[in-house]
Amino acid sequence: MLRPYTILTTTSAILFLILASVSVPAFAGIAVIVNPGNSINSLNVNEVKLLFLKKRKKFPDGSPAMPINQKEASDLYDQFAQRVLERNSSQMKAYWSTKIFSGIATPPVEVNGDTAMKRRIASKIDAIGYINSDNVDGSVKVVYTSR
Amino acid sequence: MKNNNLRRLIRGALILSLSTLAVSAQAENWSDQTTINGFMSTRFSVTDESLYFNGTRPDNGISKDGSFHGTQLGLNLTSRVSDQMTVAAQLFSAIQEDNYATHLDWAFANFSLSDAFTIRAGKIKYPVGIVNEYVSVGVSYPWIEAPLAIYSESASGPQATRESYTGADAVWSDIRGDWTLGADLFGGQVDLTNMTINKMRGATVRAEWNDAVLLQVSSYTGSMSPDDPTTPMGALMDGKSHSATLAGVKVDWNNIVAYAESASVKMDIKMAGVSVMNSDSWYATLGYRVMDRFLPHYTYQNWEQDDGDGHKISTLGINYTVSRNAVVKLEYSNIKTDNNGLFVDDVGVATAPAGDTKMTSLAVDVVF
Repeated sequence: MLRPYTILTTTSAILFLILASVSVPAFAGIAVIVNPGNSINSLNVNEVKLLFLKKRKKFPDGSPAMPINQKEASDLYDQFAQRVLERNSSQMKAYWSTKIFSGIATPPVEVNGDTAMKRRIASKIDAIGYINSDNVDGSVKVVYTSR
Repeated sequence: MKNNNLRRLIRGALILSLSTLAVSAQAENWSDQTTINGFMSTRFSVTDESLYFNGTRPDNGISKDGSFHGTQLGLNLTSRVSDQMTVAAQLFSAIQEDNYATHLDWAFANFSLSDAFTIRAGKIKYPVGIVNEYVSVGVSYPWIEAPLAIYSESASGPQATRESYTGADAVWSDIRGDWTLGADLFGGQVDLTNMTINKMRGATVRAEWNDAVLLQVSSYTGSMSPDDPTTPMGALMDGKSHSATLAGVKVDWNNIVAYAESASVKMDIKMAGVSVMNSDSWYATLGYRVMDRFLPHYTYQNWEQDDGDGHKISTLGINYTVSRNAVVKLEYSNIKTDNNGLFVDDVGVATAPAGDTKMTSLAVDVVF
């Protein structure tokens, strides 16, 4: 029969391994990007937050905004949620669950990776998304950077 | 359901939803326009009492034999028809007796007049009670089941809020500095198992500070119309008013999670001069997140009805977030009843337990 101490030690070790496995790679910066043709040149963190939580449906100048997320399971999604939206991944899930299952709103559409994000942003005048700041190029315009 | 027109309306809303989805499916970017989501809860509870708690049948109520009461599944479809209009519907299936009963939870069309104003029409979640619009979705709140003092759907419970109503509402929401303010004016009818509440109208106002503190107040009134007004209870209820006022606060700040709500329910049903179904109820919850994954919490709830029925429940729980999609919850409750509370015997007759009842519950809540 296992002694209580052995059970406690084994349980703690398993728990530690589970928690330790949840490591998130850091990004130098997250660039919030729009189409180069968009008249918006800069946004503050609160304006970005309101758009990605779909509390605002328009840019500050009154033009419609279509937020686009990175894939939910991606590290960049989690980093953006933590740094800009100030929520961890489970809090994000809980937030969107309250909106989806009451019929109030659905989360922004998703794309897979920075290349797909830049392609989508470049093709839609009202789109707003985010990428690793190292991957910014001339096809998009940066309106906010989170360090 | 009493009114056949209502059935036609819901059927029409469903057909509208499906046609919209069909049209959307043909569109080039239909996957951007239409989303499918779901939730599932698997729950098991056991008490030390042979009577059945919070259910009218042995397989639905919780007793010392254990029960999967609260095990449920929901599927949700939302389609954006245009920049201004979305159509959404949700199917809900819950364990009942030896099978699952599935019904249309809600289905409505949503038309945005502006960033701040929205009109909705169809079968809509009742916007009364802080968590009522997503009360079946366990990952959205700390408890295994939202406190019965406010959220019980039992006909012998407080009846402070309802699952949904058929009608329309006008929703206003705006952001002022750190505050998000909102109001919902709603009206229509509520369909219950043996009764309809007609001429229902009400209002909910909300103020949310920095996504951390939510204050909400609701009030509604309606006229009760039993399916069979010739029964003694039906005659007492027929044409009488049913109204309620609720106030609540929710806090999710740093690692602190707290809820408190109260309800005052007035039903104009008098027996020997006493308004037997009037009640006052409240609950308070306090929890603290540890290492982002653990949430120990405590809830105390109190329900007092004017006929002497009621309960006081203390619940200690701990949640473990397995992943962003799944939470495991464990709870231990002490249920103290005044008269029968929400207990029935094995043939469904309200019966008082001999003393305090202990209940242990385990649940897995998932969204997908």
